[in-house]
Amino acid sequence: MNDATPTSITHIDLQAEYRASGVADILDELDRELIGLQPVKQRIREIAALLIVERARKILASLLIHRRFI
Amino acid sequence: MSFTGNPGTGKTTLALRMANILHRLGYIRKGHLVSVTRDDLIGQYIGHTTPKTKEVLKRATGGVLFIDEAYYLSRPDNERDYGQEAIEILLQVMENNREDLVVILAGYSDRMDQFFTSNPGFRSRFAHHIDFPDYANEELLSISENMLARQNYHFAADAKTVMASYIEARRQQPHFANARSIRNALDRARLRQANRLFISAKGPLDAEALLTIAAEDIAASRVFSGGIEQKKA
Repeated sequence: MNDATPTSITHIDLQAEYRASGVADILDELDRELIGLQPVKQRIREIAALLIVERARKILASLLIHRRFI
Repeated sequence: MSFTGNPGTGKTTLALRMANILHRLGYIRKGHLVSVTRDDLIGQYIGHTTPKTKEVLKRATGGVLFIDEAYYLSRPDNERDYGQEAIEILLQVMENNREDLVVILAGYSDRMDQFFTSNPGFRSRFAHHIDFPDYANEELLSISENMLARQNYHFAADAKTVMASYIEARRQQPHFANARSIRNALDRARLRQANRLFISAKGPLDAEALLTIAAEDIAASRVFSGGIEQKKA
């Protein structure tokens, strides 16, 4: 996503976003350093996924609106 | 968000990580965590609560506000309590400042349920509820080894067995607080180890002696002699 100019974006690679944001590192660290808490870790992963999708939706939605006006 | 569970189950630790995640994804500007309890938000006299709560919110803006034992904000039995004042400010700021402040309410599961029932305004604003289970005995034993390793200590072979018995016994006694109880137990074990070395050493000590928690350092705990006194975790 970083290589493209903002108005040319039509797709967002969620996995690439996940890695680039550094969230993957935080979640991996959680798995490594915290013993147990499997259901909690799973919920945190789900919330992180939702936040990444929400962010991608916002970006694409704002570009869609932008393109309608140019 | 709300994090429910018994003390020492990792709620604050996970709140810190959550703040980090939210920051990395651009939902909050700074990503810091401000951890408070009732006393940080509510004043004792008329006119004190609003400035106190607003000051905390100002500090938390751009990050995560973690309110531990959040149900103490509300004391419906006391008409002159200022908790409701703080709750109303919190709700107002959460509504107006959604882009740059995340509030996590934490506490015991059953009390948080009651709190949400008597404060429906809060319930509807919290989409994510995470319940933190108690740790199993084996998990607490692994946690104790990790905690010691981080401080450059380790258990002697027989000390690990005594620690396992300690965990089993401690769980049955008052004010058990999961990983926090383990941390406190290890702090006391380190004190006993230091005293033991001080008293028994006849000459210079090698690294192994300094790094090892012996079985007797754990076994001397009050947990094995009729239980710990009240108000100790």
